[in-house]
Amino acid sequence: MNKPFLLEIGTEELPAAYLAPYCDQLLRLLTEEFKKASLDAKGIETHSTPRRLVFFCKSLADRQPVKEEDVKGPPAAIAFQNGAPTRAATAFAGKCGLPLEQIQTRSFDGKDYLFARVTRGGGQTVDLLEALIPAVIRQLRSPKSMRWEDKPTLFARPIRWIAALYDKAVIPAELDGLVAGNITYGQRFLSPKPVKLQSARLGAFEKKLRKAHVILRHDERVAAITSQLLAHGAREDRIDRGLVNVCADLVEWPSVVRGSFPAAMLELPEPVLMTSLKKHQKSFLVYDEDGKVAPGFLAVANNDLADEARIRSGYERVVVARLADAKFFWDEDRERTLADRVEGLKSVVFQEKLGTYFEKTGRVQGLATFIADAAGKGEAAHDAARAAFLSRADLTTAMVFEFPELQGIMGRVYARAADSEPASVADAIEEMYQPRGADDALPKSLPGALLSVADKADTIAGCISIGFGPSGSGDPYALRRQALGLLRILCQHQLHLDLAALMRRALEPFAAHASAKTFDDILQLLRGRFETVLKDAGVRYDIVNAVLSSGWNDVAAAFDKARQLTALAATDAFRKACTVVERCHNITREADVPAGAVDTAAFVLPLETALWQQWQTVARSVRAAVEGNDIAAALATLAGSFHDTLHQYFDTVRVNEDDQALRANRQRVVRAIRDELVARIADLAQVVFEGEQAKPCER
Amino acid sequence: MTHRKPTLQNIILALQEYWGAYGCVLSQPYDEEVGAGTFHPHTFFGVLGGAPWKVAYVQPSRRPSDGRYGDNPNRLYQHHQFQVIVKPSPPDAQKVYLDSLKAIGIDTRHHDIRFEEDDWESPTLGATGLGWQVLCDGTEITQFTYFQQVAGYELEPVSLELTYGLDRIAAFIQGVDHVMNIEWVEGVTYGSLRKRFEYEMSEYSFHGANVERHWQYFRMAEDECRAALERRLAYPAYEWLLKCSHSFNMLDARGAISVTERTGYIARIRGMACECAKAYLERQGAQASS
Repeated sequence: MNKPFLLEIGTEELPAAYLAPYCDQLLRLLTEEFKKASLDAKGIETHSTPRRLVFFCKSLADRQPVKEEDVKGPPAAIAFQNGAPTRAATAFAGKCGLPLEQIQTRSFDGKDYLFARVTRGGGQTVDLLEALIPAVIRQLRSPKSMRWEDKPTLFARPIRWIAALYDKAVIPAELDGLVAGNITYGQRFLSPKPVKLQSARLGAFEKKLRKAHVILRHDERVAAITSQLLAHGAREDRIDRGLVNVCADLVEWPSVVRGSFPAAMLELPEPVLMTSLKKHQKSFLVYDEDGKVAPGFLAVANNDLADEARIRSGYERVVVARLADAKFFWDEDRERTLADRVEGLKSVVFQEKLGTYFEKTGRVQGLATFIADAAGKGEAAHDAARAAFLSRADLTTAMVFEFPELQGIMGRVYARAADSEPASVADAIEEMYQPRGADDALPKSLPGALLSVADKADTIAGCISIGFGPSGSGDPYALRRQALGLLRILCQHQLHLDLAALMRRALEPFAAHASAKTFDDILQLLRGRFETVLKDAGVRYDIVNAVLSSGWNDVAAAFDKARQLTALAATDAFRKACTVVERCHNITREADVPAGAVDTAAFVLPLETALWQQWQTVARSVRAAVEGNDIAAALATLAGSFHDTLHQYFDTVRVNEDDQALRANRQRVVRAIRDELVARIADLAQVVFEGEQAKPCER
Repeated sequence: MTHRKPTLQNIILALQEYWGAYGCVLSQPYDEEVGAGTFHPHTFFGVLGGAPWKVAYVQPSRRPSDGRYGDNPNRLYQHHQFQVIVKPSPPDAQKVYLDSLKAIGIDTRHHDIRFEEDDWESPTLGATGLGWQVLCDGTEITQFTYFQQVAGYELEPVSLELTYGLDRIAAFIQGVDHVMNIEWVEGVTYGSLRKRFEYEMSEYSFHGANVERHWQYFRMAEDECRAALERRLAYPAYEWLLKCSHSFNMLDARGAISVTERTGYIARIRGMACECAKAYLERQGAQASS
């Protein structure tokens, strides 16, 4: 018979972010345990509120299936001596729970052993659950967990009750002295009395909870909040869904309260209003019909609003105080211009060994100009350098001290508000921090891109020179992210420059800290991240390898090449071009080709001359095509008659000739072609074709 | 209860009465500059070790960078905390706490009372705890913490720490929109007692304090702390640590400490805190075994 099972772990208020991961674990662990116990279980679901984690199984077998199996015991020679059972025999029978008479002797691998036929399984589900519940609770993990009183169990917050029912039966599971029952609790303040459960049915359970002011399902709470926000005049396209989700996991009985603040506060920039409301009050900003910020906010309360005015006035008071705080920062910060603040960076340390932000500002300014020149973007050099000069000045503002997440954003706002810097400079200040995460946008403006690359190059060079690079144990300055951002910007903005030269320049100020290894470490970090950039752009791993081995110092070019090759990968020209490089590669792979130029006078066969002459033309075309950024044309050139000539050459000319001089000259021909193609296009010998077992080895 | 709203003084008295009846020692504020009630030795040393301990006291707490010249409705250079420690934490901790709110006149049924995750830590004391900030209609009124670790020591048993923000609670209960308008006692406003102090301390913290001298003071206090530790004198060493901590906060308010530097100085103060706790426990151990 299958019956429903309901488990509720009642806790003190859990952190919102822990609810979903806890539910996932509960689902996985109990499902696995049911499987291990061969218990048929269907219709499993989990739910949560800040005060409870709920596991429900609609149909769970009431007992384990019975299985009979043979258990092997000790060898008969040891179990019986002179026909009498020894202790080994009685112990085995005892372990199997059978009288000695029911133990058999059978041959196994040519030797006699004792065997017992035992019945397994058949356990009552209620008994299994009693042991399972505490075991599973102890296995639940959260990012941070705590102890309480003197109890051994770790959990995100104290567990205060457990309700566990199998159909109508209470399962008296015990956790550190807390015994499960059939009692649950409603919303702490609106329905403080205990609620008795009659059975494990989810529908009845939810109904009782609802009566006790608890909405069990997250999705239902989200829907309730959303519809109330809309009813209070929120605009659908401006609702911060992330914040709704968080609010839904902070309350059991959501009610939206609309409050207002003095219109004078609208002087504050929108990011400040939004950040202040969201961060401190988890509240939503209200917009008017035209999409303009309105002097109002929406807060999500965990209450039925029986006395709404009282709650509203409380919320308004605190919101006004919060905004007054922001207003204080806003007014005080604007008493001085960003340019005036730069001097103040002398007392703001970037990193103890790497000096102050004032020093960093100077370095980044120099680098931004260097990059503009190197990438041939002189037109943006002035704006980039000016933005670099102002870039960190907002670190000395009170607003950024209070809301570090507004770093850069306030730089832009203050640059525009009081300083009348041009928009191009102001925007670049904010863009310097981009991308802030894996999904964040890259700088849009050119000055922003140049500045962002300069700042990242400086941070990478500085931190690695003092040994704070990423390691297995961590990446304290998020250099992996910085490197990834730097490379993505170079690719996106087509900034063609000598990356090694840039990093060498960035490293100059840190010469006192750097070791011989520093520069290699920097390039290694960048190389690893560049692989990620290529893979993220959908480039196949073998094409990634092919491009990287051909050189990636101009990452924008390498990126472009890799993308073009990926797009061409299915074409005939691509396959043929790969064959050209591959055959040239294979035949000289293990040869120690002597240095020296190809000697055309030493050609013996007409085909040698023909190939070399054709190659001169092909090489020129390939060079021209690659310089024109047209990889398709380069491949087409190789895939034409040259491909055929080369094959003919390999089929008829013996490269690895016995005669030493002849062999050296032919090897030089093949190696010259291979090296030129690898340098210009990519090491196409590394490309793997479907169904390819191993690379053919030609001699 | 009269129909009058409780004054700040009434609130303090009601909390003392409630926690006194609960069995707490009603102690007095510590006479050093501290940033929070947690820094009081009755908390810092009190939560160490296994002996049960219940204490409650008011602690004026200084946060130089929070100074707002007495203009801000909520933020203060110096605010007042009501601190409660219950060791071990009771199983009905939340209920006991909520009953104390009723004792000071907060009707928990008709307000939006929330226990919102706040993993408290004091990096300077090497202390961590899990718990909540308790919000009443969006105003933070209490820090509710299950102390897990102090000065690097895992606490066994766990202590409950409650830190009531007295100024905010009073403003909230009295329904005033500015802390300076709180009635301290009938006929005396908070502002009349504290406004000038707030103004001058703010002006001093943000503009007046001499950075170089505060660095000297910090280093001197650190040396003195170390010297006391060499003699294994936990209390005097701890007092000098508190002076270090306060100069650090002053320098922070002056903008003299960068984000990256901060970590280093906090680690230095924490190092001292751990040594103080160690010295304290050594003496406790010696007393227990003698």
